[in-house]
Parts: sequence; C-alpha cells; structure tokens
Amino acid sequence: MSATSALDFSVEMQALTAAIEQWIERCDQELHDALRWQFLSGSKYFRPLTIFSCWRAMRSGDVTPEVIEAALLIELFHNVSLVVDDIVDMSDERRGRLTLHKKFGQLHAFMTSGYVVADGFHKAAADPGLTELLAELLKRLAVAECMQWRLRRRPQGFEDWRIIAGEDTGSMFEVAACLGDRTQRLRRFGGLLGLLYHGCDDVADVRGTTALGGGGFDDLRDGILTLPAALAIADPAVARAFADPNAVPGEDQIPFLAEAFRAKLPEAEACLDRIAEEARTEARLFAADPRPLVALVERTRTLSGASESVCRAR
Amino acid sequence: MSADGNRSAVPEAPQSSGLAVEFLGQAALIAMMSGFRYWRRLAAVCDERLSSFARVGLGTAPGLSEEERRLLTDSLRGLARELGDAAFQEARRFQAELDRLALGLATPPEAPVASVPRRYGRAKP
Repeated sequence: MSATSALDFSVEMQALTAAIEQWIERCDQELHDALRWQFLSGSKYFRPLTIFSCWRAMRSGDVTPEVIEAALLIELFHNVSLVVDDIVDMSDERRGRLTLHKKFGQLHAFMTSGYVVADGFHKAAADPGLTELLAELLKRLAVAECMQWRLRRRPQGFEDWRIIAGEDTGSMFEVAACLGDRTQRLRRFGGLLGLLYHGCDDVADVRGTTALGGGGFDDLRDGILTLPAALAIADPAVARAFADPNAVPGEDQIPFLAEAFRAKLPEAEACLDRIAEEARTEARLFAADPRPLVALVERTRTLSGASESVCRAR
Repeated sequence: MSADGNRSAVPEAPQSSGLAVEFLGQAALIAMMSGFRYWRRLAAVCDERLSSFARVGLGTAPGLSEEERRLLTDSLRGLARELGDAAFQEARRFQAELDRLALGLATPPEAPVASVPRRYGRAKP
C-alpha cells in the first residue's frame, strides 16, 4: 500500500461533505448563508482525515456512519475555534476569502459559533462517550488559548512550547484520534500529530509560506511562543527583544527577531523530525495497521515547507 | 467448584495445567522484555541528555550565564518529560502485549463455531 493509497478516503470525504450540506439544510434558515460561507469554503479536512486514518489503522471494513458523524462534529467544533480566533486576531481573510465576521459582522459570527456548539452537543447527546470527548476538546482549547496569551512575551523554552502546542492543536488531534478509535490506544499518537502540525505551522509562518494560511508577523508582534521563537530566545539578546514586557517590539526590533527566528529554522526542522519519529513509533507500537498513520505523519511533515528535511526523515 | 464438592475429586485435565504454565511463562517473558526495554530506554534518554548538561557543567560551575541557565533548565524539564514518556509508553505497550496474550487465550483459533444457544427463560415483564 503506497502512502497515497493509505490516505485515500475519497468516498469518506464525499460522505462527509454530503453530511455537512445536509446538516446546514437542517439548521435554522437565518444562518444558512453564514454556515455555507464557513463550512463549504475549501477546508483541508485534516481532522476528519485523522479520524478516518485512525479508524482504518485499527480495523478493517468500511467507515461506519457513526464515524462520519464524528468527523462532521470535529469539523463543526474546529470551525468554531477558527471563527473565534479570527475575531480575536482581527483577521480579514482565511483560506483566501473573507473571514466570517468580516463578511457577516461580529454579532453574526459570535452567534453562529454559539449555535454550532449547541447543535454539535445536541447531535452528540445520544452517545455519552462522544459528548465527553467533545467537551474535553472545547475545555482544553479554551484553557490553551488563555495560557498562550498569558505566557506571551515570556522567556520560555522548547518545553513550554511543547506544553502550549500540545494543549492547543494537540488536544484537537488527540480527540480526533479517539473519535476514530474509541479504545484510546491512539490518543498519544493524535497528540503527537497535533504537536507536529502546530510546529510545522509555526515554521512555515517564519519561512514565509502560506501553506497553512497562518500569520507569522502577528505571532511575532504579539510575542507568541512559536517553535522557532522558543529556540531563538535561548540567546539573551533575542530573549530581551522578544520577552521584555515593558517594550512592545518596535519596527526596528521586528526585523531583528524575524532574522533570529529564521536562523533557528534548521534546528526547528530537526525538532519536528524528532516529533515525527515519536509519532511513527506510536503508530508502529499501537496500531493494528500503522500504514495510514505513518502516511498521515509524512503528509503533515511536509507542511513546514522543508522538503529536504522530510526526505531525511523517511 | 460445584455445590456438592464433586468437582474437587476430578483431576485437572493435563492440557489445562499445560495451558496455565504456557500462559504464565509467556506473561513472564513479556514482563521481562518490557522491563529490559524500559531500562534500556531510560539509559538512552539519560545518555542523550547528558551531553547538554555537560555543556554547562551540570549547573555547578560558578557564574552560569543567563543563556546557559535557560538551556539547562529546559534540558532538565525535557529529561523529566522523556523519562515520564518512557514509563507511560512502556506501560501501555506491556498492557497491549498482555491483552493480546489474553485475547489469544479467550478465543483459540481452533474453537468450533458453536450454534447460538437458545434462551428458554422469559424476561420478566
């Protein structure tokens, strides 16, 4: 089985898209336009892909309707986090088009996200295990966002980055892995995959790629602890420029920090290689068939934009 | 044992005791291998981290710079995390291997497919 075929979930993705469209149709008509704008706008569906991969890694046979439903729910909750992020970050665009609040206004965006959370829990109500996982996800995301903001512009290290990223993106993929395989044997794999995804996003932002649609400049301005930042601020001069709470980095400091972060990209790539290897090891140890999970790790690893590093890891 | 105690007079079938010995032997082997893997992993983690401690003299050198202190602290926290990860992963691996062993015991491959037993009793209304 090639890496491509191990991740061939075209049938499941079609079923997911149909489920999203049907769900929107059943929602209140007042929100149809906003929901279509948010949910039918070229999502990468990486979290549903994680669910399907974890399912296939642990059992044979077709993906069940319950798993498609779980994929729908994780996509709903993921989009809620995006809508809130975009409002807080005052982002104008996502995925190459206007964000929900720019298109429909803040009130509409907030209320739509509330509606989606409520309907998500309503849909999950019949399955206590599913409800528990979704509640865990939203609570951990909320805590992670607050922690990340509280710890901005602090002279933290790699271990702090691991904790923040593990609770932020890591929790989303942990829950996705548990939704794909309810035995929890792939929970740790999911956490590592999320950590890898988060780190690749950080590195891609510094590299200036737009692979994941992020914004390295915003993180730099806000003093967010990204992976390259965590490595660069071991240098006291960089740490002072990055972490001084009394001095918002001025225009002259931004290029200095950007250059310091860029200089740490090879080290950051090496960290990502190690995290990817941790994830592969988890897959090999705990999955009945690790091939879909290993393929997922390889695909995620490419998101940092360093193809030569990926070749080394393989 | 049955209520009348007759069961105690019936000797255990030889294959049953053989099964128990085989099961316990395999479980002991799994436990031993797990312990070996765990200690080997701990040694590897410590070995890898020692180099970063050596760079800053294990923090005992006077006048540790700010950068060195930060690196040392981060490295110590990394060591703690990796030691915990090693124990956690090995415990799960040990459990998974025991589960597989127990599962093989519960559903022997040569077991015939029995017909579904009929329930004669009725559920209480």
